Amino acid sequence: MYWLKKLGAMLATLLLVSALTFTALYFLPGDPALLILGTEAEPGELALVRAQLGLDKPMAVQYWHWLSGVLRGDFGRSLTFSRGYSVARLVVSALPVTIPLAAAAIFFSLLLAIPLGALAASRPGGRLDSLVLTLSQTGLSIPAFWLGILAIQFIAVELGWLPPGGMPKWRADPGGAALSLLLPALVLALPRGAILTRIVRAAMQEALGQDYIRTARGKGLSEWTVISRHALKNALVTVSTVAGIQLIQLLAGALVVEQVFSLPGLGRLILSAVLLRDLPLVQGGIFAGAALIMALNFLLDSTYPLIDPRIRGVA
Amino acid sequence: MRGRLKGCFLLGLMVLLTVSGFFFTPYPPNEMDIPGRLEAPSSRHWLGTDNYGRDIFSRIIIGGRPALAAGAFAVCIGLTLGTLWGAAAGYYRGWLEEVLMRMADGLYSLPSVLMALLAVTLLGPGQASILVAVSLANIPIFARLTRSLFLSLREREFILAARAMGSTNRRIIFRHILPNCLSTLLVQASTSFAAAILAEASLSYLGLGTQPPAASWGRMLKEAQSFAGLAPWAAIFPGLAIALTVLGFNRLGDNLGDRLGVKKE
Amino acid sequence: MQKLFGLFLAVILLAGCSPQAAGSELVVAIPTDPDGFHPHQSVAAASAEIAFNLFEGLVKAAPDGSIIPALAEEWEISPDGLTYTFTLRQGVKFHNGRNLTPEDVVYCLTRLADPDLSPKARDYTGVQRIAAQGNQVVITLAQPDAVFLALLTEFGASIYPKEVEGELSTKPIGTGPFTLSAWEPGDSLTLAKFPQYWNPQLPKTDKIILKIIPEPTTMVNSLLTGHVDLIPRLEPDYLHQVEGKSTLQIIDSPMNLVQLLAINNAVAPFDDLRVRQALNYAVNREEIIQGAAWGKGTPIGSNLTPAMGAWYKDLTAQYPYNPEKAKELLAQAGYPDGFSTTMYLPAPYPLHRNAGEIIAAQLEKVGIKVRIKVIEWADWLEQVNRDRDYELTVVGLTGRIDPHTMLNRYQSQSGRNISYFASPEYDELLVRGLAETDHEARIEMYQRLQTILAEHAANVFIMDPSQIAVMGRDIQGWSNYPVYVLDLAPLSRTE
Repeated sequence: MYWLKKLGAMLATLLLVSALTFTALYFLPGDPALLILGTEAEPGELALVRAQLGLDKPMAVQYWHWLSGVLRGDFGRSLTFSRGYSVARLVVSALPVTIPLAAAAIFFSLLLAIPLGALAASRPGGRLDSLVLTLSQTGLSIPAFWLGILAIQFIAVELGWLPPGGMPKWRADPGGAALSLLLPALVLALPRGAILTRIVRAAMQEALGQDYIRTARGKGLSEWTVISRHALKNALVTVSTVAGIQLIQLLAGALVVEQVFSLPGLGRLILSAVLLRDLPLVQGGIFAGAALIMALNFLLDSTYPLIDPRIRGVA
Repeated sequence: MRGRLKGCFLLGLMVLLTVSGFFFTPYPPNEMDIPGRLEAPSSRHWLGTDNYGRDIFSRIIIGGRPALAAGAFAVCIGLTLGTLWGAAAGYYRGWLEEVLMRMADGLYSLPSVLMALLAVTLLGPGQASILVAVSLANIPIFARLTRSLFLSLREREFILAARAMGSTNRRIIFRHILPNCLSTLLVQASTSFAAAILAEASLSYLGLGTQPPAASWGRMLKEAQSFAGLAPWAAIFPGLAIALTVLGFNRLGDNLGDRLGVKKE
Repeated sequence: MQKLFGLFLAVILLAGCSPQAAGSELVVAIPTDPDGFHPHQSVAAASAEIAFNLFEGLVKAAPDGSIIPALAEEWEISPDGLTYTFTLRQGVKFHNGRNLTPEDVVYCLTRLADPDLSPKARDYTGVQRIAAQGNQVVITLAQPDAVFLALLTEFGASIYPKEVEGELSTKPIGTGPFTLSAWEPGDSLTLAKFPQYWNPQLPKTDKIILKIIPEPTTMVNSLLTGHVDLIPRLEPDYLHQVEGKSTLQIIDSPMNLVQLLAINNAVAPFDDLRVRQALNYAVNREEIIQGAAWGKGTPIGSNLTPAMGAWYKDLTAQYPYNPEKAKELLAQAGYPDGFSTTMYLPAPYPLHRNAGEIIAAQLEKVGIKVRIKVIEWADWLEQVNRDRDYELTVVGLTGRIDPHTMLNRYQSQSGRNISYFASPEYDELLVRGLAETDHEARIEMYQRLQTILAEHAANVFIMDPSQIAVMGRDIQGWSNYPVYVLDLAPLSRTE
């Protein structure tokens, strides 16, 4: 029952988001037909192209048309951008960029955060601790796109170590594709890693103060065993929840990084579709993005009761 | 203690620079000098010149205004509306909570860029749209935080006691629960201020914010990007300005958190 | 976690030995995806420039702007200018293997001229009859139309086999030197050599990949790192990154684009000739060419460019840079202290945006305060191009190979007349120009039209920016065209 309710709420939110974006886009000035005809447009042609695109219908009719299509699994066709291609295909082709990018970024940020956070927590107030804190504060304060610009210039262009942007298809060149994602993922990982470092540190500090740690120490276990086997394991439960939230933030942050590195991901697809007033494509892209975020939220929500028994009763 | 001082010093310096721009800049910030473009930092131009030959130092001073304005707006509007929103949800619970939190989730899932685009549509391109977008983006953040604080506080003994003594709901919310949330909210406010500066920079970088020839740090970076090889200073200093200011606010948040005993999420 | 890391490491290691394709292959960078390849429906410039390699019409444009034979081997125009007789080339095959017939030409051109089926029919309203006659196609016009042959070079007039009509947009079938072998939207298009092309010398390369790279920075970086062989159109802001590199060559020539500061002649204070003239004196074209185009541009004084050859009249001396004169004119017009105005700039075009910012600074010096608004292209098209609700804007008008199409937008009733320019003399001369069959007389008329625009200070005409093509030193066969096409067939890599 709890799951059904959650699922229902999720679908309702999706519907709300789609209706909101549809309305907003409908009232955006700028007309796809005008974009198609460019600077040479004459009124007669405009009407013809608008009719061809179905833009002459009232808003509710257009929305219903879109929604009934979605229920049948048809997200429509792009109006301007690669006209003739289905929205579903365009969106699906963007996912293998955005999802691995976000996944790699969260992976790198954990790789950064867990050792640093654990180290800092092992000697609270020590020199190492304050260094880690300063580092994480700094990492948190650097704009990702600035880091991207500098990384492209100095690491990709001047040193030539990694591709400067763009990305080949996974199918055509899997190695090249992975390499293209490396620098953007690192750039994206830094601020997230900075936040996660603090979370790991706090969680570790709390775990290290618990009774069972004292018991473990009392048993004469080495400090390394105490930290890695006992404290870290417990701290990771909290960290994994927060990491999920960070993943959502990451998906949104990916947009700017995709722009800086010109990666053909979901964020960039949506942004260019908005600029081109390509309604079906924007709808499809936002829908996919919102569904992705909500699915993650759903997963997170369902892990909360497992971690914190106090909420279980209320839910 | 030393770190604390440094943080405040940094913040003070950036704010002071921005404010001083209202009275004085080394050069008129929009004055072009095409033959003198992309000059390296020198005693004439401390931080060099950009692709129109404008003085980068003067433009960084001016470019702080939209950043600080975004922070101030995001915090003022996000804090007031978001707190009320989350308080209503967390206190009354039931269907109201469900509706309010779904709406907050929906708002939360709309990418801030799209929000900025919509704002640009309604208000035209420019800084006002960015202010609206960052403010809207902060409402669900404060709403979610307040709600979670309320959830943990509403069943506490002193609240139950107040209720048993017949206090009105409004009194319980504003007199008993909210004051206990204040320190956490204050820490979030300074984090939000920092995040709003970053958001303003990103949106300006995407070209949605301050209109030329006015300067903003994000737009300066966008303009410098194509010349990053030829004139790295144009791509470095505005980013440094953003990073230092944001760092200042993040430090402020941490210090507040330490002093007020708030555990940060 | 360890497994995950191992997987990532494996992927990274794999990258070191990615397969290198053999055979003749070139990678060309383009900024935007085409909007489809149906000649009558597609209107994006990105489609037309690629379609030049997939389709052909009866005639086509040459790099010097002249009109040369394509599917028609030769043609004849009757002395009254009404009947065009095209003799088709023998043995031309479509990509689907079928032979080209005169009926295909009749079908395609008839459909093109049908206003119910084709958004491009407007240009072809003068066509009265299209008929096949043995190996010939005869087209009859209602009145002489000096532009007609030039119109037949455009993408819309391409010939395709009737039976592929339905899927043409994504699976183009034409007679061009290349076939479209793959299209990954937003990523790349792959063109493969068409072995049965009627000219056995072409194309010189087996496979050309058109890589879609929207950011110029990425485009340049891909060229520098060898991921891309050729950039056909580089934004001048990025020129410095490729200049002086020993492995690269740069080919630049006027691109036949009229960049102008468009003025709304219908609103105060711009309805006063003296104010418009003051703007012309206040704008320093040389500074704009240096500042916005890094020197890669040719100043112009009216709505045609030097790329138009004999049609072009150099009017740049009409308004030399003279801010004092500008202030004087403003004072005479009743604005001794200047005034405030708004300028819309199209966001996706850095050249126009940069020029606009420099113009704003120049106008400031004569007392005109300009508020800049950078707007998206969609908004620009609606507010400026359609509704003409603006004061100043900077934009580029794409050149054609015939002067009429360039100049008729200033006809007082034209829907494309964004300046609200109105001159009875101009309107009358346009009508006469179209009907004139004597070439010399026609040239004189179109030169007069340019002079009228300059004398009335319809706009501030700024420059014809250069098309900057950058490629590896080992690439040969590239030509810049005065129309918006990419000619890929002669391209090859020297060994």
